[in-house]
Amino acid sequence: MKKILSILFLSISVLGSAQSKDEIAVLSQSGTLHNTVFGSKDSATLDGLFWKTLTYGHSGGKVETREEALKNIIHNKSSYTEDYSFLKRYDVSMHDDVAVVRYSFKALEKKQDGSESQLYLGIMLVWIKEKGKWWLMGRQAVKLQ
Amino acid sequence: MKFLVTIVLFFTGLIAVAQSDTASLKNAMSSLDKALLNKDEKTLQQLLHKDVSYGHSNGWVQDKNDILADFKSGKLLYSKIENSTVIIVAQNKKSATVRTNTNAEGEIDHKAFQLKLHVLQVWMKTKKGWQLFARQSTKL
Repeated sequence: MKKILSILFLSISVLGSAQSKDEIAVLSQSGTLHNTVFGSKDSATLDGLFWKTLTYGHSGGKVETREEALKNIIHNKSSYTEDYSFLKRYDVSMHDDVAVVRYSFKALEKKQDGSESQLYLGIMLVWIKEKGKWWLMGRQAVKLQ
Repeated sequence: MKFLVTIVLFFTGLIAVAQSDTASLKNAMSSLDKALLNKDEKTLQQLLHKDVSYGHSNGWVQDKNDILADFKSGKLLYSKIENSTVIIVAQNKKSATVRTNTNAEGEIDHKAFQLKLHVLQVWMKTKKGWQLFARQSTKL
C-alpha cells in the first residue's frame, strides 16, 4: 500500500510540474514563432514549429498549408518594426495536449517598394503536443481597430 | 495483481470510447449553430467548454460567461448562420480543428450586421462530448 501511495504522489507531482512546464514551453514557442515570422524569417526555425497538417490563416481570410506558409514567410520582403509601447499579452488555455494562445501586436510594415502601413493584429495560435514537443497546428489572424 | 489488471482494462475501455467520430463532431457543430440562433442556453452550456475563448471578427474575445450574458441581454442576436464551406482540418481522438466560411446575420446592440466570415474552430472531446474550446473569425 505504501508503494502505491508513493507512486500516486510521484505521478501527481509529475502532473503538477508538467502543466506549468507545458505552459512555459507553449509561450516560448509562441514568442519564437512571432519573432521568426515578423523578424528573422528563418526557415529551419519554422520547420521545427510547424506541424505537418498546419493551416495558417491570414487576417484577410487567406488560408495557407504548411508548405505555402513556409514559402511565403521565407520570401516575405517586408520588414516590421514593432511598436513596443503596445504591451503584448499572451493568454494561454490548455486542455489535454492542445493549447490555444492569443495575443495582439502593433507594428509598422515596410514593404520592398518602400511603402509603409500600420499593422494591428490579433492572433490565435493552436498548438498540439506530439512526442513531447509542442507544434503549431493552426493559426488565425484578425485585424483589430 | 488482479487490481492492476482491472485498472488496465478500465483505461483501455476509456480510450476506446474516446475514438474519433467525425459524425458526432459535425453534429455538435450544427447543434452549436442552432443554439446560437435560438439562444438555447442549455445547449450552449453543454457545447461550450468551460475555458472557451470566442474571438469575433472585430477583435473581441469572449469567455463562456460573456457569450451567455450577451445572449441573455440581447446584445448579440443571430438571425442567420450559414456555412458555405466546412473543412475538418485535423482530427484525433480528443480534438479537432475546423475551418468554415460562414455568412452570419443578426443584430449587435440593436444594429443589424451582415458578415462574410472565415472561422477557425478548435473542438475538444470531453466527458460531455464535443465542446468548442476556441474560435476566431475574420472578415472576408
